[in-house]
Parts: sequence; C-alpha cells; structure tokens
Amino acid sequence: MAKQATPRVGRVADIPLGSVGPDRMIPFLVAPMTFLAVLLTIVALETDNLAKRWHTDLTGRATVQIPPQGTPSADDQAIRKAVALLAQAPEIQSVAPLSTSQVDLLLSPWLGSELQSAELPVPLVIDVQYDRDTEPDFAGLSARLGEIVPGATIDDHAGALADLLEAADSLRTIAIALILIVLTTAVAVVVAIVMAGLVIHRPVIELLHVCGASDRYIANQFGVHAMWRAARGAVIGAALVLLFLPLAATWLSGFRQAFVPEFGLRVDQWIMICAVPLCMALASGLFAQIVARALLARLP
Amino acid sequence: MIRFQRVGLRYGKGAEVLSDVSFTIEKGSFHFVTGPSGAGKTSLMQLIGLALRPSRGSIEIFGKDVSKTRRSQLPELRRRMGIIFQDFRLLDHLTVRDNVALPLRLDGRMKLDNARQVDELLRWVGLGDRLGDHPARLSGGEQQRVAVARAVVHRPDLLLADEPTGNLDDAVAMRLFRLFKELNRMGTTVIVATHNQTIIERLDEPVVMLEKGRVLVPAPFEPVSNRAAG
Repeated sequence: MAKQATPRVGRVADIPLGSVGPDRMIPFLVAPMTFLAVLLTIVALETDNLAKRWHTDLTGRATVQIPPQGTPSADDQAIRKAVALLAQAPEIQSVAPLSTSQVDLLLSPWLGSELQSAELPVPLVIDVQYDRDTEPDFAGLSARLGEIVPGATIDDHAGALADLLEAADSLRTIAIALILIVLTTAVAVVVAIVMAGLVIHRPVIELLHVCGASDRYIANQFGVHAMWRAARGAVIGAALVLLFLPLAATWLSGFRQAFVPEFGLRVDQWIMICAVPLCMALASGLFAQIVARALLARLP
Repeated sequence: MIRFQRVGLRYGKGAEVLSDVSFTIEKGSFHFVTGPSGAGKTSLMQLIGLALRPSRGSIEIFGKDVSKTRRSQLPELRRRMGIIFQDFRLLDHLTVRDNVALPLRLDGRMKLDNARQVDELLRWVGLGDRLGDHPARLSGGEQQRVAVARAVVHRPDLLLADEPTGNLDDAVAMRLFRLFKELNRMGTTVIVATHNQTIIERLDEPVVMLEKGRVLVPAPFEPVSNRAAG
C-alpha cells in the first residue's frame, strides 16, 4: 500500500518503448559509431595542430646545402664564404652552420644512429633564420651563392611546407567527411529503428490518438526515448576512445619520434571532442522526432 | 451537438459500410446505437469518436464540421470525449492509476490535485486497492471498470461506449449503466452502441437503429416505452 500513497504526477511513458522492439539495439549500434566519430575528430584536430606546428617551425627558416668539397679545410672555406655572403643580407637574423653531429642527428631517423655522416657524401648544412615579415630575396642570394660556392643551394622550405600543408588539409577534409558519414549513418540507423517502433506500437499509438494525443506528444516520446538510448551508446563509445588512447600512445611510442607527432590537444579542442557524443544523442533524438511526426501525420 | 448529414463511409475502394446516415443528437442527451452485427455500429462510433473521417457527407461535433477540420485540430476535440472500447484497450505496461490518468496527461492537467482525483475515482469504482497493479493482473470486470474510469476521469462532454456490456452479466451491466445515467444527469452526452435489447428496453432512451449501414429510425427518437405504447 505504501507505493500507492502518493499519486504520480511526473513523466509517464505512455508507449512501452524499450520493453519490446529493436530500439534496445540503439546503444550497441551508436557506441561503435561514436567511437569512430570521436577518433576521427581527434585525428582531424591533431592534423590541424600538426599543420600549424609545421608552419611555425618552417616559416622564417631556410637551409643552405653545400656539396662536400673533398677535404675538411675546403669544406670550412666554403662554409665561411657562404656565411659571409648570407650575413650581408639585412633580413637574415642568424646563420648557423650545422656540426657533423647535428647532421648525424638529423639523418638518424633514416640512416640509423650507428652510421656516421663522415662515411657518406653528405652535404654541408647551414641553418638560416630570417624575419618572417620580410623575406629575403632567396633567388638573388642563391645565384650569388652559386657563384662563390659552386653547387650550393638555398631551400626556403616553401615548396615542402606547401606540400605538407596540402597533405594535412586533405587528411583533415577526409576525416571530417568520414565523421559526417559516421554521424549520418548512426542517425539513420536510429531513425530506422524508430520507424520500426512506430509499426510495432501502432495499436498504442492509435489509442493515444483516439484519446486526444497530438502527433507532437507521441513523436516527443519517440524522440526523447531515442535520444536517451543514443546518449547511452554515445557515452560508451566516447569512454572506449578514452581507454583506446593510452593503448594507441603505447603502440605509437615504438615508432621513432621523428615520424610520430607529439600528441597534445587544447581545452577548446577537448570541448569539441566532447561535443561529438552530445551531437550524436541530440541528432538521434531530433531526427527520430521529426521522422516520427512525419509518419504519424499519415495516420487518420 | 452531433449532426450527421448524408454521411457515407467506405474503407479503401470497398463498398460503403455506412450510407446516407443522417441524424442529430442533442447536447446532454442519452442515446443508444443498435442494430445487428455488421450493421455499422462500430464504424459509426469511430466516426463520432473522430477515429475515422467520412468518405462523404458532413459531421458536426461540438459545433465544428469535423469532416473539414484540419487534422491538427482533432486532438483538442478528442480530448473532450471519453471512449470505452469493447476490448477495453488498456495499456498493459502502465499501472491502473497511470491508465486512468492518461486523459489528464494528454490534456496537460496531471497536477497533484488531479492525481488524487484519479485515486478517488478508482476507489469509487471499487479498485482503490489495485492502484499500482497492472491490467494483466485484473479480472475482465475489473479491467472494464478501469476502462470506464479512464473514459470519465476528465469529465468529458461526450461519452462513447462501444458494446460496454459485452462480457458482463446483467447485474454488473445495469450498475455500469447507472453510472452512465449519472454522468448524463451531470451534463455529459452519452452514446452507447449495443445489441443488448434488454438494457435498451430497461433504460428507455432514444435509439439510433442501424441496418446494413443505414439508419432505420432517424433521431430525435421517442423512448422505447412511448413507441411501445403507441
């Protein structure tokens, strides 16, 4: 008798959604979709960060390469000539020849740490830093440099940077397209399940209609139910990503540092990632409601 | 209050199940709809209950021509009605209390006072100790009382009952009709579809007689006793 003492005035599910029908599957279908969508979002954001990092690192820097001159003294002389020429340009802020060990370090991801550059005809390298706002006349400098040190070239990284940024842009576009496909598929699955629910619960819906329920009232029950079910799946999917990330980090740590970018997301980017499961749940609920309302409108 | 004018109804492309049905039922009256099986009683009740639209003709309910009313306006009219179905149509996943409170929820009136009103009504129909039970645990008679309580809890302007005595013995059926009469006395228009001639004779109220989809005796009608006397 105790449970009968206070009449219930809160929300009551007039349609037995969840007790029968395929909508029980919603969390299991939405969870993997959310997992993929969140992972792709992280890839897109990390690619964006990486592109910005490349841009920052490579803009304002140039590399001078001088072919090996045959003897250490000839190498030193060539470097001195090149440094003297470069230092005359007012836009250039610093000119720093790289030591053999620094060149070895640069080449180690490709050649390994055991191989010494001295054993190979590796070019002599000078690192040049210039004012980002006033780029030097690299074409003129390169021509003059070639006159005093035959074979020497200046690479301002513009071509390489453009290629890298284009590659990053393509990767980001693909990731965003995949996110949209995954989200659309997840919502479409939820909507299809809601459509099946409308058929399964047709007798109850007809009763509610006859008792005076509006399409909006009924569609709202489908929408809210789909939203909570999808939210459950979305939370599971997002949690799986959080479990997956440390595993992925462990796995990637086996690669050489030069090939794997440093992982680091800003707070606003984490907020964007958190918005993915939220969007998944809200979109599922919204579209479930819209479709339910459209189908209910066909009833007498 | 309810006016049918040359109403026809067909399902799909089939033959008309109701043809040229015309009658008027005044506000606050009590009417029976009767006729042999297949005469079209249930279809007529569904038209009045706005579950179906006529194929032709016009139907006026609560002062509105419902054959032309927009679909979005029908729920508001339906909420002014209470309907008792032959098969009760209770929601098995809800408790007795939540079943009865359905019309109040749909009308946005499920406040605490109205919730108490639900409990009082259920006590009044003898189900005060079954508030938290589900319909599957109730007997046929108890389920019917829940269906009746659901139909009247929101004090409808129009009460429709389709074969409400189908599974009841005469004593229980008469008790049910005393409830209908009481609601009618309080101003509710009551329309009962039944083929139970004993009840019709006893209550002595006007009758809409249907046969093969047509009205044999147009309303307004004389009470059965008057017709017998005449």
